[in-house]
Amino acid sequence: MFRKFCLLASYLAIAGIPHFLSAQIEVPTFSVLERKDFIVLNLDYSVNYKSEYSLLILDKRGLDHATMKMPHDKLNQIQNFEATIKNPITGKVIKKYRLKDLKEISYINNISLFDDTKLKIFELEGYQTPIMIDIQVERKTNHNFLIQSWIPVKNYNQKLKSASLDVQYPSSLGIRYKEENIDFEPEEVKVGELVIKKWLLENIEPVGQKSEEENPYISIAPKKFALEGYYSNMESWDGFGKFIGQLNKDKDKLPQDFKIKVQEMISGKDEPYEKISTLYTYLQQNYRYISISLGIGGWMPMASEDVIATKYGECKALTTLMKGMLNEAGISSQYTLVFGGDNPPLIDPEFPSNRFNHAFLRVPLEKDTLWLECTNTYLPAGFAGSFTMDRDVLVITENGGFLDRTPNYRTQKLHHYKNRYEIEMLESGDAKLRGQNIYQGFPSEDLISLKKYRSGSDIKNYLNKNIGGTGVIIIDYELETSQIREVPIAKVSYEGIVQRYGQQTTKRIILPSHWKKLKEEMVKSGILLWEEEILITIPTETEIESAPDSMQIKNEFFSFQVDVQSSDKGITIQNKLEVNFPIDITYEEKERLISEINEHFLKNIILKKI
Amino acid sequence: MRNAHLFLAILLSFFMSKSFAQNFKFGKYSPQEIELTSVDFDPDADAVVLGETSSNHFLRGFQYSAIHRRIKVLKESGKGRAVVGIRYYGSQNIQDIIKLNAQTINWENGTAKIVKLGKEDFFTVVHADGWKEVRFTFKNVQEGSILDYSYTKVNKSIRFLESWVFHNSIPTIKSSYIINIPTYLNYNFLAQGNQTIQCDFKQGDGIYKWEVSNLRSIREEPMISNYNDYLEKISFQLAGYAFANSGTYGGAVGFKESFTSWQELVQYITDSNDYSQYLKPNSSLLGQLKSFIPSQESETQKAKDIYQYVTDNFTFTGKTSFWPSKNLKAFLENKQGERQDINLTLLAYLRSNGITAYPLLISSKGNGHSNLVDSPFMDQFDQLIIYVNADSKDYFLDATNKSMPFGYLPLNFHANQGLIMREKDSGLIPLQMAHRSGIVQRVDIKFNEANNMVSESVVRFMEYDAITYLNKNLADPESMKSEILGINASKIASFEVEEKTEPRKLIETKFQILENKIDEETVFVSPFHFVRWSENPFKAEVRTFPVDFGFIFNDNYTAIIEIPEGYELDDYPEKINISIPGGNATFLYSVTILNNSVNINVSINFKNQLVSPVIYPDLKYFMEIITGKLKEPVVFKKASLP
Repeated sequence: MFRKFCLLASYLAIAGIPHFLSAQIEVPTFSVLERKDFIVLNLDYSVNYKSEYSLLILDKRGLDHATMKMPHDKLNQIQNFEATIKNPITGKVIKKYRLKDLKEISYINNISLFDDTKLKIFELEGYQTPIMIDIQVERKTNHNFLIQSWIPVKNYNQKLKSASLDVQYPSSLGIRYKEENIDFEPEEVKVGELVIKKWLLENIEPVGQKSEEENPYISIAPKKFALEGYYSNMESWDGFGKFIGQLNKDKDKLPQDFKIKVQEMISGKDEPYEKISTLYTYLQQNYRYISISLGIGGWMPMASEDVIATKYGECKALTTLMKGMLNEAGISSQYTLVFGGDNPPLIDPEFPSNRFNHAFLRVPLEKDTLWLECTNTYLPAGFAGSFTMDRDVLVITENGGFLDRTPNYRTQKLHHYKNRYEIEMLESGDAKLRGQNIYQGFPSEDLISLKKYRSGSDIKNYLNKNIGGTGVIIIDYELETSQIREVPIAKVSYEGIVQRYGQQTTKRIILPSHWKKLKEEMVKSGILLWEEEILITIPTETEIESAPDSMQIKNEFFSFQVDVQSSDKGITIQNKLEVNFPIDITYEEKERLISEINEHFLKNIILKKI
Repeated sequence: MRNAHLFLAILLSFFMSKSFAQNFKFGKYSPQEIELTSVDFDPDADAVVLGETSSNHFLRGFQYSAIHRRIKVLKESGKGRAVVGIRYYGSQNIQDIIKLNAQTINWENGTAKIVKLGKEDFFTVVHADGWKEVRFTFKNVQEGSILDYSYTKVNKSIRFLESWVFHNSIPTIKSSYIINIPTYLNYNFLAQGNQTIQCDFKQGDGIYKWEVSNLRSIREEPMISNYNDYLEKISFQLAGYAFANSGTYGGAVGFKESFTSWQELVQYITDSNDYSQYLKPNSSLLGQLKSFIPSQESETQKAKDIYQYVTDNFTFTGKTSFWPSKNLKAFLENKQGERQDINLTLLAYLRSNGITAYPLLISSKGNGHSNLVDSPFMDQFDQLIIYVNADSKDYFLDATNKSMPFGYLPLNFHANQGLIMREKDSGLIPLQMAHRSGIVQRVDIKFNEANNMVSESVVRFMEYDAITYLNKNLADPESMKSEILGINASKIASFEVEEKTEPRKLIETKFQILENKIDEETVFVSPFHFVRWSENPFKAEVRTFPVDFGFIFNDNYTAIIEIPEGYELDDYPEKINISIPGGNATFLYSVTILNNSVNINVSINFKNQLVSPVIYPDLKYFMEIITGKLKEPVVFKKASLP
């Protein structure tokens, strides 16, 4: 992971970007803020930030509106901090805080083993409201690679009385900015070589947590920029790419003996995918994901040579090593930046800026493009999973970069369940169970990971829970994993029992015609192919009273087909569900359709006791 | 029985000193360790602790713990063990970590390849609240690697020594704790777990050693609260110390015994300045406390008013300890503090109104001391609550949560016993919290003129069942509706929620569901739209730890189903009356046929919230029967024409 972005993201997330609430609901005001912010870009690419806040807290729930968590490391320095706590009625000063009074803790995330950034924290504790706080902060970053966005209102239930921003920069450096929810142009003042842009916002009413619209904010990005002696221009993605290219330069060089090892591994393999898969599997089995983020190391990969020696590295390093290995195998690939995880930020192609937190590898082949997630240790080469799918990414080329988009994986071969159950009903109301389930694509991920990382009893528990309906106890199983090119497959054959299969009344036994319910997580991408076959052997003292008819339902969102065959001995049911929800389906609509599909599953088989 | 043994804990006292040696040395590896590829008592394990020791001695008033741990990676997935974090309390240098060493050993063609970590590979992370952590990761870790590391933890605070837990999250072949106690110190110790208790720990001359072997990994399971009770563990508390006071004329020497009785321990705590202000406020503070005047006359009503006032006016920071974080004066001024500050303030208000109240120390669930040892061992407790006697009735109070009604405690505070802190006669008392929790449901199913089925339900959540919803902020109509009937509940004609506090806390929901018109030949009616468990929560086949349902409860469901016009009763669920072995949980399902209706009565009764893992398979099957049975339908058939 890229540390610095994570850091910035969390720094902003502390405050959050509150949204406007629909006008009808009156939102209580916990605090009233007046602020002045100054951003000064210097010719040496350093940036000074100065802020003056005057915060009146009216409600104790607004005490945390005064909280500040400021990064402090080799790239970011806090030069001055002063906070004065006053009684808003009498004006009497209650307490003053200086920089030395702030708490300092490490910046900790669940990704890095260590990050050298510290956070200086100011928090109000133990004060009665109303209370007035004046804060002055001066900070400096020794680069302009990342310029802090301006988010004037960072808290819910906070009224903004006024907020001004002055951005000053030498015209030779320039800046770019993107306003959101601000409908006026800034005032511009020129003093010789210096340009000052001024924004002023006034009287913004507080917003609550449930929101529809976004609050005003301004994203600021550099034109010419520098970080620790590396220079480029961010006006184009190409310029951004050039910068990353400089940081990565020669990092993928492999030691001679390792080159020989690579050649040995691919010897006798002709197909590019075969070579890629072999080297990727080697990476997965031998290298661990460990991120230690020191200074520019948040941006610059560890050299492949060091990764080979320590057998670990962060996403950038593992990606770079993989790139080096492919290069040695004669396959060209590109280091690629992405925002990994759920809800990636939208990327504006016209406003190049750093919106990324992760690196992985793009491998263009003759017929398709593979994406290699080099931190994953168990999936096939080319199946990068949901972490990076369906989003814009920045591909770094030899001399620059360009935006590309990852696949959305909306194809049935990646969302396929095929379950076959043989159920022998016992007079006790329990049943014997044998079967085989095949999971292909995303549905196989859990089992493949369990096979690699967990014990047999954990796998049994997983199967008990997920194989079919309720009451399953798996006694014996065999789990095989395989792949068809990049598509992962898990095949599990099993034997066990089902406690209380179906329901009993005095005269009848009622059995489900579809054993498992459709759950939201099975149709996350909106695509599903689910085939189910149930063979039920019924006890001799029963006969079939009724069974659902074979049927077929088809509409624009799904099709469901049931085929029922019955004989004296039992029933065979074949179900086939194909789901094809639109990409932009709403949550509510999806829930409604899932519930509709589950209604179709509810049909029962009724056995009569003789 | 194995469980009974595990619960045993013994308390002894010891003295004396001198030096000791050990033979498990950093960097020396035995052929068995090198050759080991799997653990016979835990064959699924992907890594194992080959050995670990904690060797402890005292020097110039500090405790030095030399800790050495050796791990072997058995499978590729075990490489995750190569990341180590050592937490310590670094505030005011109370603890520190020194002498760190770590190395990876791989064997290539019979030769050991060692990769040592350097100073630059150890990182210190500063957490909030004074905690720090040394983090590092081993290099060149492969399947078969041995990861060897050692360090010394220096501890300035020697009244309570850090406990040593012999268990790890991976299996442990051998774990030892060795301590050398000088003559001027005396410690009580508390041993927990079968092996620890049975150790022949006296090595002579003030040296004591506990060594346990072949411990399986400990894994979490759902619905467990007392996992820590099962760890092999040793804890220490200072019992006395020798002193020499040169400040006194002529000097004074002697031996100070600490805590020979509960009263002494309580005295030690309550004599501290911060405590005494809460227990015996001065006249100015008393004046402040008395400025709040309860509106009611009876002791119980006064206590309720005060409880309400404290929960409304003071903010809980989420932190907890039994030493006040500030004194009463400071707390009354800024109105926010830790659990003990709030509860002691509650006590001060109660006492200033003439109500009997005492602090009560308990061990909450998960703290590892479900069964307290009746000896003054402070380390057993982790929470401070208040015992109140009002109108001759006992109450246990914790005033940190506004949505917790008077007289109810969070479920993890439902301990068997607690230490009552009186001026005299302090000691362990039982915590008896009488409540009648459960879900009472009545369903009336009728058919209207158009032959639509109309189902009317009243579901009452009593006491802790109500509180569970209140604490999760789910007691509003929208949340209750989606909790009870699902997000996509359709066909709901009406839904109401009412909350009642007197005489007991309860939430009552009423809802009406309109079903489709019935016209089929055979009609199946499942009466209950809501049940406590919609499906069996137990999926695992076996279990290691007891299941904790949180509280005892008694559910009663009744359904009265009218036989629809033109139909006759054809079939209905069979009656059943079952219990789990030992009879602590019972399930009763009965059907009564009346002239034009079918009555179903269900009772689910849990007399003990804990169910032993020994009868877990029975419990699982029992739950499968309950969940299945409550879905079973009553069957009506079109009446044949005369």
